[in-house]
Order: sequence, then structure tokens, then C-alpha cells
Amino acid sequence: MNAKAIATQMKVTCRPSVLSQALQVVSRAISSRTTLPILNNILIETTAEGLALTATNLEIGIRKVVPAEVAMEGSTTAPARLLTDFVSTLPDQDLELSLDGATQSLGLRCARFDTHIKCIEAEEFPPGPRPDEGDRLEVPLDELVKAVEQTQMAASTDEARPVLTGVLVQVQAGNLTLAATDGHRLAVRKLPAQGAGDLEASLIVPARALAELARVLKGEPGRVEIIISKARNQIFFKAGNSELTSRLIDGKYPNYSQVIPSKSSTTVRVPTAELTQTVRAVSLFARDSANVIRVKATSGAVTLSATTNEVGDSKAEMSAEVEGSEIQIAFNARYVLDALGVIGEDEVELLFDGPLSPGLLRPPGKEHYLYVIMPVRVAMS
Amino acid sequence: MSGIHRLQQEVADAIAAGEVIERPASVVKELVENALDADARRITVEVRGAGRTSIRVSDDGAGIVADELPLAFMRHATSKVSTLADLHGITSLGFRGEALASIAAVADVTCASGGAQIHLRAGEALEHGSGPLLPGVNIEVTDLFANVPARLKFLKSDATEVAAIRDVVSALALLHPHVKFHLTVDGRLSVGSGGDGDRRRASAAVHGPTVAAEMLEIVGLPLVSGLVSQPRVSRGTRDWIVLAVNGRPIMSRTLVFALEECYQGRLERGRHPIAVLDIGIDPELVDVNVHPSKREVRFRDENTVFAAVQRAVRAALGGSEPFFYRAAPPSPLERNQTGQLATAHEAWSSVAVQDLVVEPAPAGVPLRPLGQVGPGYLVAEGPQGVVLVDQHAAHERILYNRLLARLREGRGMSQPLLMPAAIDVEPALMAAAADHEAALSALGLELVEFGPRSLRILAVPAEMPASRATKAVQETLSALSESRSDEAVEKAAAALACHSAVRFGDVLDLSEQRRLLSDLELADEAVTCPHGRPTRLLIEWQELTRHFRRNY
Repeated sequence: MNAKAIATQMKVTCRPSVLSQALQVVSRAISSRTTLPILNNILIETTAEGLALTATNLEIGIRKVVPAEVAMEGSTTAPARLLTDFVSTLPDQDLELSLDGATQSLGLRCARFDTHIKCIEAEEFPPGPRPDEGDRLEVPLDELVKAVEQTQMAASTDEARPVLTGVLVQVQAGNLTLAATDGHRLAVRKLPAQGAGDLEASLIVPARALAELARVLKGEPGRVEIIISKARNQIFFKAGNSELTSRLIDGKYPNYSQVIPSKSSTTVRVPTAELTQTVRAVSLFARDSANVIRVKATSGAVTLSATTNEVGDSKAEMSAEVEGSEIQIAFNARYVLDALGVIGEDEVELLFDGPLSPGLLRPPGKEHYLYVIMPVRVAMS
Repeated sequence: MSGIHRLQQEVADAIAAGEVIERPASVVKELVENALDADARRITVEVRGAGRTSIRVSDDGAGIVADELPLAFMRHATSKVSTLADLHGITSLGFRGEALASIAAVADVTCASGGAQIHLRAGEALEHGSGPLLPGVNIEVTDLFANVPARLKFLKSDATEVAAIRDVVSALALLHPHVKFHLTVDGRLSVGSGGDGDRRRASAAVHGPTVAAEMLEIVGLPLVSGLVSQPRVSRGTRDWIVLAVNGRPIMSRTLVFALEECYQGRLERGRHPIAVLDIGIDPELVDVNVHPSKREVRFRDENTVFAAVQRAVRAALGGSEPFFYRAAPPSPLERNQTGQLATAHEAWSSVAVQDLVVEPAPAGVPLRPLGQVGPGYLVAEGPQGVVLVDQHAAHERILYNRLLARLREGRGMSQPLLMPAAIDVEPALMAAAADHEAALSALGLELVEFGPRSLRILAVPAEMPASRATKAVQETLSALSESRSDEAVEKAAAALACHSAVRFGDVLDLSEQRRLLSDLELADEAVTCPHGRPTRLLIEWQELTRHFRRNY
């Protein structure tokens, strides 16, 4: 009894501003609908680098280490919401955290505050996997974050086919390829990896987990270490003091390469911002028709239009570089906007091969990113 | 065993009477119908001991001439029909001349009219002399079935027999709103209609004011008059459907079907409307002399009647309103126990109806989304109050209407799949896919045969998530193959709408909520989803005002 109480004593000092930021990021892993009360808590542990904060919903886990002076080692779990909200209000003066191991009461002393939060023993917290073993590779952080942003939104949000709610992460020939599709559109992004050697792997990572990656790794320097667990059921992204863990989705990802168009009869080149703004405006008139906008490419111009009987109609013409044959084609505006929002280039290239074949959207003259959209079949007038 | 002989008159009469008089409710029916035939404006029915002890019916109709009183109780004696030709154009409810004779054969009957009175028992006239000078006919039937113990034994519980009597009087009160009906059971008022000719108030007397306020009136249509319930008010049985021809309650599976078909897509499976439908038709075109109890009739042109019923009901349903949340009104039953039975009940039935009549929604004021609660309800503020919306049902309705519009216009809008999916299906479903290829393609679904037992899905309706394609196709084809041919395509559209719609449990952001709500406002028949479940519930401001006692 006594021995344990002493073992779970803890005393550390850190800065509230740093702790608050970390708590907010870590809290992202907490599900609002959890059935396990302990999962509403954040695990707080002392480590050699400082104070480690961990939260999980059993599908994803987020861990951050904040610099702290450790006077006495120990660990506990504190209610995430209360701790985060409280720390965020503190003045940026030294905050001393001290745990009474016997009562699991976490004392927070900072400036004029003397606060106690009731905690639950760290032993109750699910142990979660650790990235100690497995295959490793490294990629530049900013490129990985961009690649995730460019693909993750194309994944399905519908649970009917779980594999499609994930992003396919492929490691092959020293490259990392991310691909996502919901069955109507497809996004593929390639980036070089280091240290992969002859490693080959094909994993499906939940898009929901990847959506947190940018936030978790924000502010960390340089490179991300990706670790794939030996059992091929977990993936770890680690950079500096931050870490994102995710379970992998089991199943076979559809072979997407066959749907990437290999030829085109029309090529259009337009400024990205202008196209985005035009699609957004015209699509307000695409209501009863499932967001469908019509695209017409003629020599030197692209015309977008949409109609809803009860609402009205809208048409906009923009000048564009058009090569090849004229075309009329229709798309779900949302799919187009999703791609334009992440393409990150001043100009965008659209390739068509007739009104019923998939259209391709990509940065002009580059191969690392491509976005395929299946057109909508409508009666053209 | 003795040889063949003619039955004694008494026995023969009892057998014949059995066809007409089965239970106390039959007595009530015959006597009330006689009163209606005599143009009564007020009919009072008093029942004691579930009709076994006594049934008294008095009216203010034409009455029976004193001299003819004994004749009225003779078999085949009537004033309603005289020649064979009359039988082809019967306008009265009765015409066989059997009712009074049949009742007299199985009970003790005292009948007073026109200053005379006659007393009969088991068909024998015991007394005939002068009686009180009252308007119309006063007839009292006691000791029913005393001489037919077998029949007595087969009577159901008191509650059941009383319910049957109530049903008879209720139906006639609904069908004859200009007649004041007053039914008491053991001294307590059971049905009391005002007789002012207003069908809705008659409905309030029978169904209660809450239901009456929700009834839609059929107006200005040939052949059919009456009331039908809004889809949001329904019952678990068909007992609340009253059908009649020229004021005569009838049973007709065909016409019930015609009625219920109009509610398709508005009522859930197993729910039935409340309705009063009177078909006013040239008596020459209908044969009521089919069945001794006259409950079945034959129409010379049933299809016309069928179509007229559907036209009338559909027209009335055009004015359906959304579902309202109402705190339970004080139960009429409690009021009955307060002592002032009849007055309290009458006041409640006539006044309350008007209070509850609902103002139609002002069009064009959009709902303001406030958020999502529970797994899948949207909360919004509208001009009339707080609106709760079942996001799946609402989206299903919007998509269903959209799909049907595309079907009508033959302009499908399909979203081809990046990766066509193959599904294995039974031969029956393969056939359904082939038979309805054109309709499916107008709905946005494109399928091609891919081997003898499998299909390849090339495209789905533009709104459907690709990941649901296989399940949706499976269920759409099942709907096609299992439904009757005239409704198969609509069922298929409903299946597609269901699989394309947001799920109950999906998280919607505010802009998605706003869009769903405004699409719902624009949609026709938005009160229910295509399966008949309600899409929204309105809690009116006045309901909140009442609840929070802000009204004084």
C-alpha cells in the first residue's frame, strides 16, 4: 500500500502555455461518444524528456511530450476536458503539478491558484502499442502533411465499405504513395521516402486518423519517422516530441491504377483560384441535381453552368487554354472543389477524354499528384 | 326418429330471424335504420345489460299509423317497397319487411306510435291498445333471445357487445350528421352527436375532438363525400374505416383497398387511416339485396366507384399537414365521470373542435437549423414553433421525390462508378433488372449482365455513395421483383432513396442541415418518408406557451 503510494507520487514543473497547447492536441484523440470512462482521461507520465501526455480512443492515439522539470517520477490519468480547460486559463508562470498517490488527487499550483483535480490510476489506462519494433522509413514532414491533405478528403465517409474510409499507404521502391477513393473520385500522391530500402508494404490507414496528422506534428522539425508494426496492424508517425498512432483497416484495397486515364482528347489549363471561385458560385444553383455543374470547353474558354428549377440558373465563362476537341461534361461540384482546395498550385490542368470517361485534374506538367473524377451522366441541353 | 314435417311457425320464424338478428347490435341497427327511413331528426338509443336486458329506441320520425301497428310486425310487411320494380332502385335502408318481425320472434317487444301501443312476445301479439301520444316510434326490446338459448350462449362479453352497438350507432351518426344521435349505455352517454349537419362535429362526437380536428374533408367531388384522416393520425386496425352507399354502411374489401392505396407512402406498414366515406350513387346502379344483413353490395360499375373514391381521397390528402406534438388532452372518459355526463361531453365535442383547427403553415419562411440531437434528429426553428426532423426520413423523402421526377421526365442523372462493382444475384432479380431496364436507367442505375448469375453496376443515382452500391442494387431489385407491377418502380425508387440518404447517426454540419431543411420545405408530401414514417414533428409556440404557463 505504502510502497505503491510512494511509487505513484509525482512532482513536475512546466509552463502552462506549452502544456495547454499539447493538451489541446492530445485531446483530439478523445471520442465524444466513448463508453469507457477512462478514455475520457489523458495519461500523464514523467519521462526523461519531460511530461508525456497520451490520449486514445482505441483506434487512434496521440502522444506529446512537453518539456518539464521532473522532481519526482510518477503517472496518473486526469479528465481531459477539465484539465485542458483549466490549464488554458492559467497565466504563463511556473505550474507545479503534484500527485497524491493515495488519493489520486492532482494538485496544480500556479500563481494565485491552488487547485486539485481527482484522477484515476495510470494502471487503468489501456497500455496501447509502442513503436519499438517494426519497419521504419522517413519522409519530409511538410511533404507528408501536404500529401495527406491532398488525398484524405477523397476517402469515403460511409461505413458500408470500411476499406474505402481509409487512405492506402504504399511503400515501394523507395517511394511512398498515398491513394484514396470513395468510388466516384480518386486522389493519388507520391513522395520520396528515405531509409525504406527494399521494404514493400501496403496499408490502409483510417482517413480520420490522418486528418489529425497535421495538427499533431505541427511545429515539429524536419522529418517524420513512419513505423509499421511487425504484425502489420498499427502505424506510427513520429516527429520530435509528437506521435500519432493508428490502427490499420483490414481488407483488400481496390486496384485503383486501372482507373487512371492514360489518354485524353481535351486539355484545359486555367488559374486555380479563378476556377475555384467560379465553381463555388455556380454550384449554388446546382441544388436539386445533386450538386451537378456542367462544364463546356471550347477554343479559348471554359463555361460552367448549373440549373435548379425552383431556384434559378447560373452561367459563367472564363478564358482558358484549351487544346484538343471541344467537350461538354458534368461533374459533382463538391468533388471538383475538394481537389482545387488542396492542389496548391497557381494553375490547374484538366484532362478529358469524352463526356463519359473519367476526367483528370493535376498540377500542370507534374506527375506527383493526380485526381480522377467520374463525370455525372446527364441529358445535355 | 319421426318423419318429415313442416316446421312450426314459431321455429321457422326463429330460424329466419337468426339471419337478421344475430346479436344486440343487430337489433339496434335495424331499429335505428327504421328510424332513419322514417326521416327522424333525433334518434335516442338506450341500452341496458349490453342489450340483453333492454334496448330502447325512440325517434321523432313519421311513425306508424295506429291501425297498422300489428301489421308492422308481420313477416314481409313494409311500407318501403311494394312492387318488384321498387327493388331495383332502393333508397331506404330497409326493404325486406323482416326486421320488426324478426326482432319480435326472439324477444319481448313493446312498440308505441301514433297513440297506439302493441306488446309482443316470441312473435305473438299479447296486447294491442291505445298508448301514449308521442312523436315518431318508441320501441323497447327486452329479454332478447330468451326463447333462443343457443344464441344467448354465443353472445360475447358485455364489453364486446356494447362495443358492437357503439360501432353501429357511431357509423350511422357519422353518415347522417344531420340527425341527432344519442346513445346511452346503462345510463351513461356513449355517443352524442349534435345533428347540425356538420360532419366534422359528428366525427368529434364519435372519434373525439383531437381526431376530428385532424380529419380532412372531401368537398366538391362527385359521388363521394366524407372525411379522411391526415396521415399523421392513424390506427392499428381497419375498424375506424366506415364505408357507405347512400348512407348505408357497407363492407367492401375493394373500396377499403382503394382508400388505403391512397395512403401508400404516407402510412407505415400495419397502420390504417380513419375514414368516413359515403358514396352517393344512383340506386339503380347498385344492388343492395345481396346479403341478408345487407352489408355487402354490388356495383354495376365497380371501377368507376373505385376511381371516384381514389380521386376524392387523394384530393383531400393534398391538404395534409405535418405532425404536431401535442400534450395529451384531458381524457373524455374522466370528464364522463364528473357527473355532468351529457353536457360536459357535448360541450367538449362541439367547442373543442374549433379551438384545435390548425392554421396552415405560412409558406416561404425557411427553417433555421439549430443543431443535431441524439443520433440523427435535427432541431430547427420555424415560424410556427420548434421543428424536429428525422434526418434520414427527411432526406429519403427529398431523394425519392427527385428520383420520381427524373423518372417522369425520363432524364436520369447517374454517377458512374470509377470501379464498376459486380454482384451475384438470384435469377429472379436478374429478370427484374432486365424487365425494368429503362426505368432503372431513368432512376440513374445502370446495370449490365455479367455472367448468368451476376450483374455489373456501372452507375448509381448521382446522390448515392458508391460504397452503398451493391447493397442498394440488391434491395432495389428485390423491391422490383416482390412488388405488384404497377407499384414496383416506385418501390424501387424508395429503396434507392433509402440507400442514398444520409443515415440516422451521420454527423451533419450546419450548412448540410440548412440544405436538408430547405430541400424538405420545397418537397411535396414532405410529411412522411416514402415508407410512411413521419419526417418531422412540430412543437408549436402555443404548446410551449401553454406548457411554461406563459399564457397568463
